[in-house]
Amino acid sequence: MSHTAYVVFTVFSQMAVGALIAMVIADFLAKGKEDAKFFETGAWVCVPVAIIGLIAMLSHEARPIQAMMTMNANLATSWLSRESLVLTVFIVLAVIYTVLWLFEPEYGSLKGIPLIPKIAKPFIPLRKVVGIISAIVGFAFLGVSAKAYMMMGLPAMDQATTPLFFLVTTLLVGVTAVAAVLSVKYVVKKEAVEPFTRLLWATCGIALVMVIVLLFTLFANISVLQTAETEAATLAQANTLENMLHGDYTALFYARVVIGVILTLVCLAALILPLKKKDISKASALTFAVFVCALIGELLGRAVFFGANVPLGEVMPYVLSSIV
Amino acid sequence: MVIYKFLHDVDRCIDCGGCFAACKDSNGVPEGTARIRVIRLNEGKLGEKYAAMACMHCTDPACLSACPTKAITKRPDGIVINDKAKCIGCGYCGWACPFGAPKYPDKGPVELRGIMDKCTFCVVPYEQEKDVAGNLIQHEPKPACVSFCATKARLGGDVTEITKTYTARMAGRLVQRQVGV
Repeated sequence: MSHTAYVVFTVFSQMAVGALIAMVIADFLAKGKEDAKFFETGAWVCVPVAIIGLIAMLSHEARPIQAMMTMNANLATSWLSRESLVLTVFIVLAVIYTVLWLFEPEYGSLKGIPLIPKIAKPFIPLRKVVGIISAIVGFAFLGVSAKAYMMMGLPAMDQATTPLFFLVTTLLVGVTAVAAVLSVKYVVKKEAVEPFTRLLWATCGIALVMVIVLLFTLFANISVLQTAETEAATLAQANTLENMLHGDYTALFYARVVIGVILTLVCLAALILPLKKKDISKASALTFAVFVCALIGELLGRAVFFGANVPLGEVMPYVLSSIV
Repeated sequence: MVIYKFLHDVDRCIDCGGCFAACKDSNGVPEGTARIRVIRLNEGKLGEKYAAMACMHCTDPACLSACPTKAITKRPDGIVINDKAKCIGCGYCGWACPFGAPKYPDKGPVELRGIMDKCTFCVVPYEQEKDVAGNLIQHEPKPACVSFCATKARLGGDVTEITKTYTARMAGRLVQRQVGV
């Protein structure tokens, strides 16, 4: 089966969670309606990105319509069922949260659409609460999604590094995606310098921490990968490592390190000086560069994650050979 | 209650591929996919052996736990079958299975492309049929791979009986080694 769908689904769904978290941060950083009006544009990111992820996931099913209706059928034992349910809940909450931004009667982009702003108005004060709940469900989705891949049949993914990789995608790509959109808005409109500067500092801090976590996770993934308890699982892990470091996915792996780690760090480092000097136009351009590098890096990394993986079923003959 | 299992005697298997052909023929498995495959153990080395691998009809099937739509079920007699009408082709069971048994053919009847297919102990063929109540029509568990195996390497049936058969063979081989035959 093609891994492209898995790559797009996981990266984009996690990016959607991160984008929502970024908007919750912005909601708390906003010190009035003028600040909120500037940040409101970032609310456009979460739901379309989540929908792209959802379409990618459904596109790899042989029966996508049926999948939408029946994937929750085995919540008792199937982590895929649980992932489907939690994602559905997250998307519903994300839509509600996005509505509370975009249909805000005073500054929402869609405030001109009839009826909905009036319906949304009494709930606007609850937006931060909705955002926090959505963010919590989003984190729950990350955990459940990681667990869906941490199974006996996939020894290389059955590691603590899997949820860490997913967390990095969420906070590195998702948060910088919102910052990138707002950077474009700032360059065009040159408004809300103070609140945007605060958001850029928060973005810079989160991105830096996540790149450090990514470095640690990559190192752990490589050096600790062969820690399975059975011979078969150890062999599957070793073969995965071989694919990553000396095989078909080596070029992608190193491209990920160069673009997703080194270039991202360089852009982050370069971002700090203009931020300190309050040259926000330059900082905006560099923020956009951080997002692009992070996104490309995560897409490459996820391609390696799925592509290099060797399932247990492929190594069985070699394990059986040793006992014959 | 009879519990059905497979057991493959690698000392008797000659990699004739008869099990593969018999399975295809009996179950109408189309080109491009297979429910059973013969793998080579210690390939190219002295003492190379062969083993036919299909669904092991596990006691605690990982595929059953993983399936999000409950398309996979385990009969009281231990045979694990799947309802293709419920399958959405997500591929999750394939990842869960430690033996690589589930396959997702891209040839054959259009409505079954991408839908999981695997060994069913010859209880359910490739193109499944249902009765008026909507239940899968299931046949007697008489696996073609076992019937067709010329060397009787492939054992399949009541786990108590095949264990006795295999144990007797192993005892015989042990005696032969001891007396130098």
